Formats: sequence, C-alpha cells, structure tokens
Amino acid sequence: MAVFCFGGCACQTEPRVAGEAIVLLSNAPEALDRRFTLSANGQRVASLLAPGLVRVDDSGRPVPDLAESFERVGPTRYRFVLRRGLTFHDGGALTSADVVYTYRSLVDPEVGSPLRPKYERITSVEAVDPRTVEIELDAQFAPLLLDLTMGIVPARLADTSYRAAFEEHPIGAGPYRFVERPDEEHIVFAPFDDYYGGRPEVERLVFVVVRDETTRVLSMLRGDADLVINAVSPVLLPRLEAAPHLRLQQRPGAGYAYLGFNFRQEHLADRRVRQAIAHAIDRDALTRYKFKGAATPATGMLPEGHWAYAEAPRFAYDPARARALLDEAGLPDPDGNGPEKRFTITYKTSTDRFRKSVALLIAAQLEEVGIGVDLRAYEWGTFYGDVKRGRFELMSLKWTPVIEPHLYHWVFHSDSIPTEDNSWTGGNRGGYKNPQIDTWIDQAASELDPQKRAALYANIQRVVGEDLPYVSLWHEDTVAVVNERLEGFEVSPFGFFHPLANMRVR
Amino acid sequence: MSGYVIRKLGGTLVSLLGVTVIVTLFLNFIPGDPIEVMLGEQAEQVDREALRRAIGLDRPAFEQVWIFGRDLVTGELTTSLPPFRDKVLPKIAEKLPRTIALTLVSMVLAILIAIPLGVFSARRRGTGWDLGGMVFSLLGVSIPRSWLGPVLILVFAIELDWVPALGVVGVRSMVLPALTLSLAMVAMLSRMTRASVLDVDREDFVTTARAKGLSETVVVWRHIVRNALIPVVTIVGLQFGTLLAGAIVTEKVFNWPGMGTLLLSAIQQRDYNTVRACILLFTFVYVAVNLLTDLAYGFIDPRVRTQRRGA
Repeated sequence: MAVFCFGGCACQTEPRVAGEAIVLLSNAPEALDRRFTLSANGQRVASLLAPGLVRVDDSGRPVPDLAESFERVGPTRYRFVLRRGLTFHDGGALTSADVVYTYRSLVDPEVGSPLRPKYERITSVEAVDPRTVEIELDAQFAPLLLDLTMGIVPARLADTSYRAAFEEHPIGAGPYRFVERPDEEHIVFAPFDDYYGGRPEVERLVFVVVRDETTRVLSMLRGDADLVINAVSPVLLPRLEAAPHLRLQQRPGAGYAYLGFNFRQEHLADRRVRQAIAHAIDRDALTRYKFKGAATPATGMLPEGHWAYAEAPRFAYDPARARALLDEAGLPDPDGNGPEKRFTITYKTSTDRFRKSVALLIAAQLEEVGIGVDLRAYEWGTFYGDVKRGRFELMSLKWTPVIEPHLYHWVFHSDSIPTEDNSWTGGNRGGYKNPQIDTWIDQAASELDPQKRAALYANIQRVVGEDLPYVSLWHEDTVAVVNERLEGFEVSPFGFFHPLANMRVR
Repeated sequence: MSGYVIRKLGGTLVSLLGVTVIVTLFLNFIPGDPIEVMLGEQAEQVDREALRRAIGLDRPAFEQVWIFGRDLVTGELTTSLPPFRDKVLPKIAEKLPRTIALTLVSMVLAILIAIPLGVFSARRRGTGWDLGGMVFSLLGVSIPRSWLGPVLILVFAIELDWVPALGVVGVRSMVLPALTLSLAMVAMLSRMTRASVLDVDREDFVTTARAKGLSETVVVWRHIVRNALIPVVTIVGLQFGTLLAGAIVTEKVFNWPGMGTLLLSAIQQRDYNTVRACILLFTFVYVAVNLLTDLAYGFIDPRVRTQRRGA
C-alpha cells in the first residue's frame, strides 16, 4: 500500500524541470538552523538560507555579508553596520535586534546550541541603533571574525510559540528561501526576490542526499543531477571528465594531509631523521597517481592563495639525501641496501581503504631508505583515540579546510599538548615544543593589523617547515563536477555554497 | 500445543530483552571515550557534557537501559543531535512502510520467479537447462548487492534509459531495487524448490498417481509441487530477515528513503538514539517473523507439534 503514496512525492527527478538545479550531497544536513549544525554539509546548506554578518572569501579573509562594513572600535570591541533594507524571507525586517538575539541565543543553555563554548568568548552584544551592532570580547582575539559567519535568525524566536513554526519552516535573509523538506533526503529551496545581492536566477534548488558514491557518479553521468562538490573520489574523476555534458572544476584548498611525528620517540626527536623522512617521500608521484592530480604537494598547513600563506622550505624527493641524513644522525644501515633496517617505527592509520593505500606507499618509500615500518591500520574510533592521547610514533591524518591560521595554536602551541591533566585536550599530539613558535602564535592571535599578522604567520610557517613536526603531504583539491546546464558556477576553494546564488540553468 | 507456543514466546522475549541491553549499552563498549569518537575534531567547540547527558552516558548502565526502554515505549525518545528535541519514533514511522514495501515486493518477485524456475529445473534434471539454472543460482547467491545495484543502474537507467537512476518516482523506480534485493532469494528458493520437487517425485503416492493414468501436468502441479512447497514456505519466512538486512545496502545504492537510509544517516550523524532504535526494530521484526514462521510451521505440519511434545 505504501507504494502508492510515492506518486505524490515532491522530489521527482524526471522529467527535468526548467530552471531547476539538483545538487547532490553525500550526507544529510542534521539541521537547517545554522546554530545547530556541526557537519560541513549542514553548515553550508544552512548558510545559504541564513547568512551571517560576514562570510569568508576565497583567500580565507572575512568580507562583509549582511553587514556592509565592520571596524574595530576598541581593543576588544567591534562595530558592524548592517546593509539597508535587509528582510527575512517572510518579509520581516532584519535589524540589529535580530543579530543581538542570534548571538545571545547561542550561549543560552535553554536553547542548547552545540556551538555554545565557541561563542562564550563574546561578553556582550549590543544594538546601538537598528542598523548598528557592537560586539565585545573577553580578550583581544583576531580570529573572531570567522566565527561571525553565524547565520542570523529572527529575534521573534525568543517567543517560544514561534519556535515550532520556525523549525518546520526556517527563514533567514539568504539568497534562497526554504520551500520544503519532504524527507531526510530532499531539501527544496526557491530564490528569494528581495535578496540584497539580487534574486538568484535558479528557479528551484534541490539538494538530494545520495549516500552511495557509485550512485552519485551514475546520477551525474545520466544527467539526473547537476552538481556535486567534494563527494567523488579521485579515481572516478577521469570517467566523469570524459562525459560530454560534465565539466570538472578543481581548486586547491580542501583539506591538508600530513604525516605526524611523535617527539617522544627517540629517533623522531632528531630533526635530521624527520628531514630524512621528508626527503624519502615522493609526494609528486603520490599526488599524480593516487589523486590523479586532484591534490597539490604542500609545504605547510595553509594553501597557496590563502591570505597568510608564505613560502616554507620544500623537501624534494631525494632518497640519497635521506640516507645521508640518517647516517649523519648516527643511524647507519647495518647491511647497506639489504633486509636489515636502520631502525623500525610503527605507523598508525585508519582502515579507510584509500588512506590505507596511501600509507602503504609511504611505508614502502621509507623502507627504501632503510627505515623499517610497522604499518597498523585501526578502526577509526580506536585510531583517533590513540592519536588524541599521543599513542603513536608516526601517523597520517588530514585537517579539514584550513581557513583560520589560528589553527596553529591548536596544532603546534606547547599549551595544546594533550595530557591526562587537561583531559587530553589539544591538537599538538606529537608533543612539539618551540618557545619561539609559541610566542609568535600568541602575538598573531591578538595582532589586529592583518599585515603584521601575516608576517607573524610567515615566520611560523618558515620555522615549522624546518622543524618538521609534520611532513606536509598535500592539499587536496576541492573538486566540483558540474553539468553543462549550469552556467556561471565557480567552485569555492573551501567548498562553500555561496556560489550557488550566482549560477543559471540553461 | 499451548506448551509449544509458550516455549517459543518465552525464547523470543529473552532474545528481545538481551538485544535491548546490548543495543543500549553498545556505546559503552567503544574503545576510548564515545563522546570524543562522536565529535571528532569538533570536540573543542562543542558542549561535551550536554551531549553526554543527552545520551545518558553519565548514568549507571542499568539506568541507561531503563531510560532508553522507557522513552522508547512512551514515544519520548529524542535524537542524539542538538537541541535534542526531535522525536525518533515519527521518523521511523515514516520510513518503515517504505522498507516493508520494498521487502515485500522483493519477496513476491522472488517467489514468482523462483518456484517456476525450480520446478522447471527439476523436470529437466541433468540437461543443459538444469545446469544453466544451477549456474544462475550460484551467481545469484554470490554476487554482492553493492555491485549488482550499480550495474543494474548502469544498464537499465543509463544505457537503456528505461528507469530513473535517482529518486522515488512511483512504482517504476522500485523495479531495480526490488530486483537487486530479490536475486539472492530467487537463487536460493529455486534450488530449494528443485531439490524438494525431486524428493517428492520419488514418493510412492506420486507413482500411484501416475499409475492411475493422471496426466503429467496434473501429477506435477497438483501432487508434486503442492507437497514440495512445505519446506520452501518455511525458508521464505526465515529469509525475510535476510532480505531486511539486504535492504540496508540496497536502499543506500538506490537512495530509497527507508529504514536503511535512516540507519546509515543516523550512523553518519552519530545520532545514537536513532541507531539504537533502528537496530532494536530490525531485531524485533526478525525475531517476530521467525516466531511466526515457527508457529505457522507447527500449525501446517502436525508432525512438528507431536515431536516437540514427545521430546
């Protein structure tokens, strides 16, 4: 009997509706209210509905969004001026009161946002006049602006009787308005006539959650869908590129892959050994063959083109140099190129097939220069638990798109070394310590002049690049597969969805 | 008879209770802190304690089982996603009929194909047809659904363009998932039917029927097949659970919005309460169908009851 109700489903994909664009997602957004989203897809879809005061441009800089301008008015105080005539999708005006409500609700335990700890840094949010808001922090903190991409929701939500209606039909001031979500797998948006940036030309924007990668690829091949961003593995890209109606767009930026060292391991504490390992890995070959070119060899956490990016030492593939460095470090190969190793280390990775295959190649390249590698692949929970507690010698992992360079504090500051006492909080899992780096990171966080900040991060990138607490492997590209029906779409390096507002359907 | 029913019911209750305990407590068996595993790199910015409380991990084990069971029964169970207000049961109520529909259609499809195929093979035992049937069955049992599904999409949706690759568009889009899901069952049932038909063929009453001068068609369909179907019916019931499990993979491949997709989505989002509820439901259906099959078998074949009483 249930079969018959499907006829009335609003999610028909055939025949294709004129002006309709279908975007495939690999997993379902957990919420459409940005205040309750943790997943990347959730945040991206929610931001399209409800943008924030600022958004992040392609170089990782905050730029005005709902705010037409922002400035620093005190050591820890910022002023935002909203654009004129902003309205929510239901026609209600968007004023400073809505901004105040949004940020207060984030730290309200009653509301229960999972992002609360992040926003507790804000000590006050005040409406100066209907278009002006001032935000005060508990201390100088330059990375603040990136957290102000939070989508602005109406202050009417303070009235709890409106909440249920809002959850059914969320609104914001974004380029697209919510139409319906008939089930978990389908979200339908329509263009918002009064969007400050102009009404989008797409008549209907549908997000379809397709969890199976092969099915995503086949749907794109058949022309059932128009766009998929970062949800197709590199090996399948050539097949898609060959299809006459599909185009690929690639930009470096999505995710930074690295090989992490544990400084508590006697040999790895020696910089020469770390540099030898960096010279032993052929990153060009790995990106060419494993990623089919959809990754760019990296020298540090930040991708080229990021506002704070600076050149750091490059360790070219040079096995001879690697062997020389190891000899120098007092670790000679006992039998030349024979089966005996200079020393053996364990290398932990997850059981993910692709990650494991990359780890096998890296292990083979290390064996080439006489380092014995005991490769161990663990189920994600176990692997991650070990990594968090610093229980590894060598491991490879990936940071999701690095936008805010303050991440250096989490990853390389000596305050961020996880220990039992701080209940294993901190991303400096290898235990890297360099007082100079600590100082620069602290200065950069409170330095508000962008140029001076960039200079500090340039120093950090250079010294970390020599110290090598990580071997930087590569930046994985953001890859969009686009049906030629879509015109004007330009993929964001971080995979953000705001370019969806600027495209047309042919 | 009533003793037999009570024994079966008792066993069922014990297995359900056991599964409830295991399913509720499985988070406690994860190596490391489950909250960290759930939150991953985002743990820094998330209210860990709120999450811990919401899932009840701050309570003693027996209390966790009790609270989960109580909330499930009263319909108060919420998802483990902030702000912990969405109810789990309405979601399941929306998805379950679709999975049941897919499973039932696959089952009917399997029976419609498998029984004639099995009888046909048995009647042509030792010929090329029989061999072909065997090869087909072997392939059917061995081919994984995660491979068969995409191949069917490639052939029927992309090359031939007969059905859509994506989305739920009426009955037409049920064809491929149902085929994918039923293939293994077709293979198994047809072999079963073939063997059973050959067994019955050797019985005395069949010889008698032939000696009476009945036409071969009547002998086969009225005397042989009817008797041969008894074990086949049992297998159909027992296979229902397998179909349900297969539905998870099949639904993922075809993007069928049923219980399988709900479960996978809950796993991806680390929505543990929904995962718990789904697994419990699958177990419940599995156990219930097995119980019904056992009971039905007892009713159909009086020998079963007699044996149990004797034992």
